[in-house]
Amino acid sequence: MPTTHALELPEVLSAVARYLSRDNLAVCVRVSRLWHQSFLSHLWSNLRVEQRWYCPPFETIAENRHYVKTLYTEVDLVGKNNPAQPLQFPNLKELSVRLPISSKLMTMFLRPSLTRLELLNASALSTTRFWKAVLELHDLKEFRADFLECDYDSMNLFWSVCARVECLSLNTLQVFHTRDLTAMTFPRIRELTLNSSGSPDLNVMRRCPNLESLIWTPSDPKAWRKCLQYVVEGLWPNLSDLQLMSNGPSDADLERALLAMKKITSLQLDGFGPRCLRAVCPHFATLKRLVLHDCKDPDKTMAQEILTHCPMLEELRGLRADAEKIAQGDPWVCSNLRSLRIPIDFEPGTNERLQPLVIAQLLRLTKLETLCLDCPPVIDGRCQYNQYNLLVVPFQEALDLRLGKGLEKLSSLRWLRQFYFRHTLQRMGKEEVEWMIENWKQLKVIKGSFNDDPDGTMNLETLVRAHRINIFVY
Amino acid sequence: MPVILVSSDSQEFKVDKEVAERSILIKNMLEDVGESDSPIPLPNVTATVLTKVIEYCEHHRNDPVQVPDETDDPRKRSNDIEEWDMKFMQVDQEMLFEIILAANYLDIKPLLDVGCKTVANIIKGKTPEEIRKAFNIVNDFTPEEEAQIKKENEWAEDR
Repeated sequence: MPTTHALELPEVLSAVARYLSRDNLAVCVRVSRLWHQSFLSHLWSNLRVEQRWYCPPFETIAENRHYVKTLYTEVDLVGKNNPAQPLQFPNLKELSVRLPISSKLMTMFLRPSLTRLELLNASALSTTRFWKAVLELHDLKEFRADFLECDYDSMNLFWSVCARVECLSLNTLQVFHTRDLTAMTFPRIRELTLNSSGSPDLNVMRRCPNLESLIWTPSDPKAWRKCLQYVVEGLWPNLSDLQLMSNGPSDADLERALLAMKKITSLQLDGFGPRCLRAVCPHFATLKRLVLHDCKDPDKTMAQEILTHCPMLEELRGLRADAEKIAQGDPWVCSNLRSLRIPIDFEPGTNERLQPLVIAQLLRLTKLETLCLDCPPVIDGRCQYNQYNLLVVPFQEALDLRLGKGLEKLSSLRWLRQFYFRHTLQRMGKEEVEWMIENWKQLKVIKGSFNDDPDGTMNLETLVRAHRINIFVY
Repeated sequence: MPVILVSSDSQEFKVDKEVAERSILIKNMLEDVGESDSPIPLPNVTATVLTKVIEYCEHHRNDPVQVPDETDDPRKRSNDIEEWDMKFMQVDQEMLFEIILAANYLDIKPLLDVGCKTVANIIKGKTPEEIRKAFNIVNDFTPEEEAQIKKENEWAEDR
């Protein structure tokens, strides 16, 4: 049987296509006629039309529009021949529009098949006719509206739309918009994202009894108190994902809320400390995401504790790790980790001894896609002013990323896409860069300085860019 | 209760009913046939391939039965292959495609998925010419057609 037989079956090619990213699909359509036919629909399934970058010509979009299932656009997609009517995408399921498009045009964009609608600039969408049309979208499950400016008559319709979806995201809502909310509840909403709106936020969130995920950036620095009170009072018995972008609460305030949560899968918090860690302990088995800012962890013990107890963890960010603790500690269990962003601090002179043990931990993370070892600059006595009177912060002693020192063991990180090591002292050369290009085939972004020789680094940067990897020194 | 499967080259395989029923095709056949002992012929699957398929089904016999996933999840990952499956799939390309064909014919979705993820991983990062070489595919485009398609889809190649 010829070896390509399986690859001649359209259902097999289609199944393979579902695991390929857009750039891979763009290559696949060029392989042969059969592949072109089988992969084209997948290539066009997700379309982004951005003004700044090269995007498909209007005619090509028009030709392939029936394949498009997900569309993000910053352009009104109106042709020269028929400026009154935007392109129709008959099979559209998800639509994100980022431009102040008129109600009239926007109404024409809507398809009954839509399950997700994002109005990233809703400032011109004020007519009742438009909101009535949105209310007609019976399959709508996810809805987002930013910079809403609809008139009083439309507010009722707007809130009715919000009441029927499961995922709601509102950005910069005005106070008067919530005047009509008194009689409403939103029992369908499971995921709520609110951004910078002040008191209207609290009015909306406390009407969602079945909330599972709350993502909130309050504009009022004291509003967090009420929100955490709702958590403690059990207003949201199903809440397992809490992302609160506010530096108001203390470790104790957050602890009280965390203790009231029946299940914790994801947290993004400011001010997390040892009390919070204890409150999260019983949920280590289910914790998938922990993103912290301004964490109270002076002994740098938290990172090691999390990495050795959370098997489902996919993202960890915002802790500072101590190389000694990682080296001497238990093996990491988080083999599902996709994104790790923690600086790993080495005491001067300990690198030789600790490095192999730290690498032995890192190489376990075989699913890692983002590894960020950036060392936030430490402003202390070692800093000096240079000739331009600017404070120069010396680079930190960190993981030595040279071959022979352990880099070669990290070939197990086959899926690495982003690799950052800014502000760390490195002595890498051409060998290391070639090794990375050869072994990390998915690598797309590097951030950091390979070494302290500016000319040498420039050559390496050119080499990296030649392989279509973006590189940033700062 | 054992079931007898017969490969295209007439070799008989005795497997537990539970294991055999990981194949929806076989499951349906058994439901239709009822309480019969007669061996099930699989004319599209040779003995070597059937051995591998049975090995997979044995290892995964206790997995929860997958609900058919009709939605196109754009966040599907091909690096989600578990350790055992990865080792299982370390076969030559001919066998890889035979396994995919068998999984497709026998309707064993998880095995088909693993096979397709493996193929996707071979494709990733390659140029069209490298893909053709890897899979022995003939380029049936004219140079003009190829240039046209490249131009039309250039927008998608950057990430």
